[in-house]
Amino acid sequence: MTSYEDNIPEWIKGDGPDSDVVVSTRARLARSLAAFPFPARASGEDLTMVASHVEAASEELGRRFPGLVSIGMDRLGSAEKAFLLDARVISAEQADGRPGAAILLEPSAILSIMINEEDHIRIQVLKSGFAPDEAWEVADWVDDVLAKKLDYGYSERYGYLTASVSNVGTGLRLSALMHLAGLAMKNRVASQLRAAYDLGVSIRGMYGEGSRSVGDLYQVSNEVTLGLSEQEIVQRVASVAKYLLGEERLARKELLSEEWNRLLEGADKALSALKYVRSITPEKAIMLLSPLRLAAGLDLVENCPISLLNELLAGMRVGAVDDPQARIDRAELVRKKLADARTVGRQR
Amino acid sequence: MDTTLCELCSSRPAKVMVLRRRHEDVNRTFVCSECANERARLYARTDFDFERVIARVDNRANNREPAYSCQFCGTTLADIIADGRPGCCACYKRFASEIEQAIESAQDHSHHTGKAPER
Repeated sequence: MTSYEDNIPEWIKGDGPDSDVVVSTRARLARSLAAFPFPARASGEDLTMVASHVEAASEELGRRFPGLVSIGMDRLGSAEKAFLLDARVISAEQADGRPGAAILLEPSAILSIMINEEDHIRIQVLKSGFAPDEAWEVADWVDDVLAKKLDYGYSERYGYLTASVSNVGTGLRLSALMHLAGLAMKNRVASQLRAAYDLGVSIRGMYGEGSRSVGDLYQVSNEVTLGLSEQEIVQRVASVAKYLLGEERLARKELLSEEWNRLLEGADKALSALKYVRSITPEKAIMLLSPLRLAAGLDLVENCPISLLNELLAGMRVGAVDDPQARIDRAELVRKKLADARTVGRQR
Repeated sequence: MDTTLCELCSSRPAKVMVLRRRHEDVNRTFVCSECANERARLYARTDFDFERVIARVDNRANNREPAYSCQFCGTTLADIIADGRPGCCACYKRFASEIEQAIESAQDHSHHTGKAPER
């Protein structure tokens, strides 16, 4: 185990508001330094200078985030990169690690800053549960601290200039990762997502494509970053996430009162399969974890807190090489973690 | 210009990169000026404004503006047309009209209304 793996990200602990439905809320700000080409066009020397400028400017962040350290991607092994990918701290692009690629990270992983990913700077604030205002407040503060020392690329007309025109303007992407398993069981996901689309946000499956995401996990985020203020973006995403949260709560309440057997049967089947599995793909595992997470959120499963299920979701290594050994390792992890879990067999 | 041959006639050197976008698919073809002009009318019937891009890139070539690139990072007009991605902050000024189109297409807005850096 490395020191990074000893620290459990806050979102995995699942202590945030409504975290049984809203897995996490993320605010991400894309920023560039005016004096350097964007990472895809910059030389290794440029990128190394970018990293040292950002690291120097981030010293003051330690006041609020003690333990913030800078880690060069070239110093990390594949297991450590996989851990950070699973913890949703770095992107696959960052894991590939161009010269000068680094991550500023603190123990709870609420704040992380990717250096030299697509943009020079990606400020990320990842909070457990439904916390759009809190996530934005932290990201905004970090941004202001860095701006005092760094010369950001900025224009009066387009706002913050970024490597992709789809991030220009505020550079803000606010997203909520939602587990909509109740709506899925009631076959209401498609209609609810259509309603949400009309409100001007983007909703996509976290894993897989199509109207039903693998594991019923959906990411709600702002579609555009230009032409709206940061507060408007936060408010827009928050209102849609809140609406979906309300609909999911209603679906879960109906399931509990009207289809309790079906709910428990789904969890039982999933638990039986996962407890004795010997080899499993990430997609299949995430699919089986969904009814279990739903039932656990309704207190129908013992020894199976949301934090454990978040940890399993994060450990499924989606996107990593899926060879036979990885499937066996994944199955072993699932069996071990769920060994004592059992459904509660009494109707309320 | 390198010695890449035109992908349509395979005889003359390719001088123009043509971008065709149909729905989500982007198709890049490297062609000579003659083939580009010949085929422009045909492609113009698709939902992509082929003739306009041909004319613009071709004019740059005819006007012998190989240096129509960003002085700061070296990104060329062809790069910008190909993927809509600037190479640095200076590209936003250098290729103002091309980038304006890309921004409006991606964002549906053209003016920032959010915060500014505190310095």
